[in-house]
Amino acid sequence: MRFDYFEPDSLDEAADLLREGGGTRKPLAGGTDIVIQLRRRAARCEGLVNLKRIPGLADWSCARGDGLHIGACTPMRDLETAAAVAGGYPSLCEAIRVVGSLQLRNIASVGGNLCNASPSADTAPPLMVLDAMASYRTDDGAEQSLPVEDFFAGPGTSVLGSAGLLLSVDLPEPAPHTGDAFERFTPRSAMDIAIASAAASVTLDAEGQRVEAVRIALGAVAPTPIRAVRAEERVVEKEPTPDLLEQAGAVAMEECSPIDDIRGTAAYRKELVRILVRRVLRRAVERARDGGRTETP
Amino acid sequence: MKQRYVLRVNGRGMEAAAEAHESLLDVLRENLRLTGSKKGCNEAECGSCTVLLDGRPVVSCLVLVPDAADRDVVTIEALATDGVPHPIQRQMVEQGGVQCGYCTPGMIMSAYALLLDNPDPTDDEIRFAISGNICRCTGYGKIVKAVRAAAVEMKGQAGNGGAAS
Ligand SMILES: Cc1cc2nc3c(=O)[nH]c(=O)nc-3n(C[C@H](O)[C@H](O)[C@H](O)COP(=O)(O)OP(=O)(O)OC[C@H]3O[C@@H](n4cnc5c(N)ncnc54)[C@H](O)[C@@H]3O)c2cc1C
Ligand code: FES
Ligand code: FES
Repeated sequence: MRFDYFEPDSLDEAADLLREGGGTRKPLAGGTDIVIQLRRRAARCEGLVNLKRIPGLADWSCARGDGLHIGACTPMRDLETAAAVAGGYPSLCEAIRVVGSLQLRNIASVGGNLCNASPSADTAPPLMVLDAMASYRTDDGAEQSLPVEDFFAGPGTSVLGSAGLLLSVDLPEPAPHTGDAFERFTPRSAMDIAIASAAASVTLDAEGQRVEAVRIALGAVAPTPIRAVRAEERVVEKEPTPDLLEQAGAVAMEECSPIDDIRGTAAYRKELVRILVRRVLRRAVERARDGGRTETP
Repeated sequence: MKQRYVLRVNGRGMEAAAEAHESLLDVLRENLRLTGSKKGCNEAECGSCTVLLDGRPVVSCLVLVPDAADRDVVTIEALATDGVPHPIQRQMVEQGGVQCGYCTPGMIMSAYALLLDNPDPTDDEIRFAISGNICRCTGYGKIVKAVRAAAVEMKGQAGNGGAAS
């Protein structure tokens, strides 16, 4: 595993280095995906362009009224240990906490998780239900943004070209009476990849009786993380009774297109989706009733 | 092509000639002869290579050496002072938290990082802190006990120095 190594200190320089490589160089954030892929010879590249010394790319902030701004290279552990993130965006925190180990999350970035574009990327479903926007630089240097759910193009590919760079992920402040939750299923409790995962965000009316808005996203059960739009339609503008949430799970199960692999069969994954969707909806509703986002201490 | 990297390891500046694709773990072990950190899996799965980088526990097998340049690295070798083991080290031995010993340096570095942050952890907090360190021998119970005992001991001696950095 040999490669050239570059350490640009500006975005322009990083983009130039990638462009000069003509597709043979890749960005490096935490390296927890790319270094292993190179060692296993599962990926090829001649050069790594380290993004972590570019000012601002590893910064994050969470200010009242401004939502949550996550620079692409922010290590996951920074967010996990921030009370404002745990309080305001619990589903994201729940997803981060199951990624590898603490020693991994001190280096693994949120941007790397999205750019690696695994169907099972654990931060994707929560970011999708939390209405996160991905800001990126295109191959020709233009800055654009789009919803995280439109960022993925297929297993291992995103909308980014070979010289494209993800810059940040931005989440709006949740509406009042909103709750969210994430859950994944793995055979072992730690250090494993999801067989299926689900996240939901639910906004209730002021009385806590009726669903005003809902988002459901699924991981590891389609070529990319996906929204379960029909399951959402089943729930919106209704009272979130246990029976309704159960029905939403049954609808979501038909919306995904899982595959058989060594971790589980397609049928097993669908059954997991049914259960996970019901559970995350129930927990999101409970959190919405508990006053929405927990006030940050 | 080999390059010279300046690393700050256990408070001392050290130079190593290495290639950019080499891991911090390999440079610590092969170039600097600090073989306390172990290479179990080389893929971030086992935690036996855990060191502190700028005060945070990381898997050194996945950190590329240029990424560690000019940053503070603390390895297991820094814990004993003048040949006297650190309380976590001694308690690991006394409580039976060490069997084959392969996981031990990484385990101790995770516990050390925890106690720097949180001198009075609950058992659940201890378990969470070492959940990225795999031990195939002890069943973890005695390790948790050792960390708890070390925390008590360290609180007792707080104020009169302690371990390096
Ligand atoms: C033991 C272990 C356990 C793991 N467990 C999980 C898990 O439970 N759940 C999970 O989701 N993942 C898991 N992972 C995968 C991995 O840790 C995550 O996907 C991580 O978030 C990747 O981030 P990184 O910063 O290390 O990315 P890198 O490896 O640096 O980059 C990943 C990819 O994205 C590209 N890239 C990175 N940043 C940018 C950017 N800003 N712009 C453009 N391209 C970019 C790189 O070129 C590369 O192709 C695990 C990995 C290991 C080794
Ligand atoms: S050797 Fe680094 S985690 Fe196993
Ligand atoms: S003591 Fe043998 S692996 Fe832990």
